[in-house]
Amino acid sequence: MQADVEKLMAQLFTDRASRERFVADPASAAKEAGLSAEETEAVLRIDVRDLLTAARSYDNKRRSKRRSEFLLRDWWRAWRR
Amino acid sequence: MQTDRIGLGWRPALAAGIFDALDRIDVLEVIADDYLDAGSRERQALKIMARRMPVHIHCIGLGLAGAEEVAARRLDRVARLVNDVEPEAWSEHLAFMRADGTEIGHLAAPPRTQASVAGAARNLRKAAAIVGTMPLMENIATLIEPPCSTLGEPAWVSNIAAASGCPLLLDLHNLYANAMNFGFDPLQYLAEIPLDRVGCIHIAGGRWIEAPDHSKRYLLDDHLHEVAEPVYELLAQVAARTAAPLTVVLERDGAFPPMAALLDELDRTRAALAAGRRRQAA
Repeated sequence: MQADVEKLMAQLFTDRASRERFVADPASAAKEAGLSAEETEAVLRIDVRDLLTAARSYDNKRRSKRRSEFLLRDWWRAWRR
Repeated sequence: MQTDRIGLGWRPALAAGIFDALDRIDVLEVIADDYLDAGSRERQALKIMARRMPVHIHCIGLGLAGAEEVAARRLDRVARLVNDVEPEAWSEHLAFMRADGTEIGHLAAPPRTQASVAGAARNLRKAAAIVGTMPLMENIATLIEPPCSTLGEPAWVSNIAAASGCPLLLDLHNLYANAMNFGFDPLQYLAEIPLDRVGCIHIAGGRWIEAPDHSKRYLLDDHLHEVAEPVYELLAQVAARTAAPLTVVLERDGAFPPMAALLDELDRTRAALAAGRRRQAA
């Protein structure tokens, strides 16, 4: 199901331990996520380099978002004065 | 008669420069998520801006193409912002943002299947019912091919547009980055999507990055660099293939250059559009 695949991908994008388990044994990770045989076959074809690069990019985005939220708050405070 | 328009993403750091250059900017695009928790004064400021010039509200956090049904409370907040600001249009991304309580924090590509087409169409109808109008939906950049996909990206985008009736926001840098990273022809992509549904276009810049083991390169859509020449060429190609007036918005999220440099990019955008229109007329 789409929801199970998205749940697994969200975990892989956000949680290093989940990612390391997947890279070490993707078939077991897919089984734990409740994926069907067809879905498991599809996630086994994921290029680990793509996954690790995407996860790093999401991590950078989350940090950058936190920084920009502070900047926006400062801008509005200055605008109010 | 309507004409092509060139706009810029509204960012607080650019405010002074934007206000000084309103004669060279036709449209402003505001990130909705920056204002969902804003007070009445901030919203009033946006409304004043929207009365002075066309404003688009651009959402990032709804996850309308995800398997989960979009929460009414998230749409209610967008509806209140749209109601307060009265923008010309609002938009979101063909992406999922969360799954089973895990927040990714940015846009992720869902499996491209008929099931996700149907799910996105359901979410889009709900969004249109609550917010009042259908959003323009944007193609996203991804560094990883969504697993379990049975449709190519252009077919998936086209099917969602057909199933929901949504207009499209065509991000040409996202298209270019995906084409570079996954080895397809961006012109073929343009040939396969319904360009007559494109209501707005994004352009932006990015940079090349490497995989952690340095064995592979990727074009990252970071909005921190100037627009690359191939993106302008894609814009000219779209202008050559469509009859309707186009609205093109330059996105820049940081590492801001002097305002003059951004205005030069807007001029370059106008030139690319004009070149495409000339090709169409020839």
